[in-house]
Amino acid sequence: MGSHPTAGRASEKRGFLFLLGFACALLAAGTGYSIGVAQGVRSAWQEGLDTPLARVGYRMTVGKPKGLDGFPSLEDDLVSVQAVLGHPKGTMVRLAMALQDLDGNAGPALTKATNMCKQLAWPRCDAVALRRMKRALEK
Amino acid sequence: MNTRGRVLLLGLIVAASGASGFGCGYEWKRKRALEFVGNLARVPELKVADLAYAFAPSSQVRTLIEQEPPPQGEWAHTAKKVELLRKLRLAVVAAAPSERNALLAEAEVLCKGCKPESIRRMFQLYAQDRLVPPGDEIMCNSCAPYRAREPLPPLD
Repeated sequence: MGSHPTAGRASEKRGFLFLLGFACALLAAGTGYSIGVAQGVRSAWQEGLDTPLARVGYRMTVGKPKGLDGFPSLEDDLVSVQAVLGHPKGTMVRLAMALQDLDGNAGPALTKATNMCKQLAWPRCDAVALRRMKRALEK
Repeated sequence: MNTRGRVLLLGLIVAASGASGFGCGYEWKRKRALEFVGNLARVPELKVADLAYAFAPSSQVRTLIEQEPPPQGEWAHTAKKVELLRKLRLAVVAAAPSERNALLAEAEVLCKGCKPESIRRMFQLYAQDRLVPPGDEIMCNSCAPYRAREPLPPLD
């Protein structure tokens, strides 16, 4: 006695539907995971960068912020950092940020860095010393 | 189960899979990214400490070293070692040779079993990181006069 042809077709259909369901679930899990990863990174950045010190640290290591919402201006953050760290540490942070933009022997970045260095009363604030400071920061 | 029921079940399974995939990806990546981002707040102070140690006047470096908080939490067990290294850095920026030698003697006491030569060697390694202007050599009674590894050139 063989199985009924209609029962065989129904069983095949169930198998196909099961496979289709499994494939859809797998696809959905993969898509959900990818979206979750992207959202997780975004959320961590926004949560981690909620202090001026972290944002200045970001600018020192990663560079100028791109694609991050609500990033305050550098000047605002430096004012807050100065208030938190006080003098001379806050001024040193300002000097470090000015040194990042230093390029060549002239320009507003050099003037700014020289002024910060003089405010700190460091023994050498000439262009040679400032370039050495920039190199030391980049290490 | 009729077709409508099957489609509904499939939709539920797909939605649940998608949601669990999202949850796993979100939590896993967020935790790892927070570890990295959390350290960014320490970057300005660390960079500034390195910069000041190499270029600032000794009095400022001394203030900065004295303000450093002791290691806490999972790093508490390193407190003694950190204190020893702090003494050596303070010795580098000490105002007078007598003060420098006293700090080196304290470092020797902290480092039980260390030879005095090792302490002097560590002191010299720390002294190398100070890029002082020429002529501002660092000395202690039993250390050779020390010139920075890459001294700043004299002004024209």
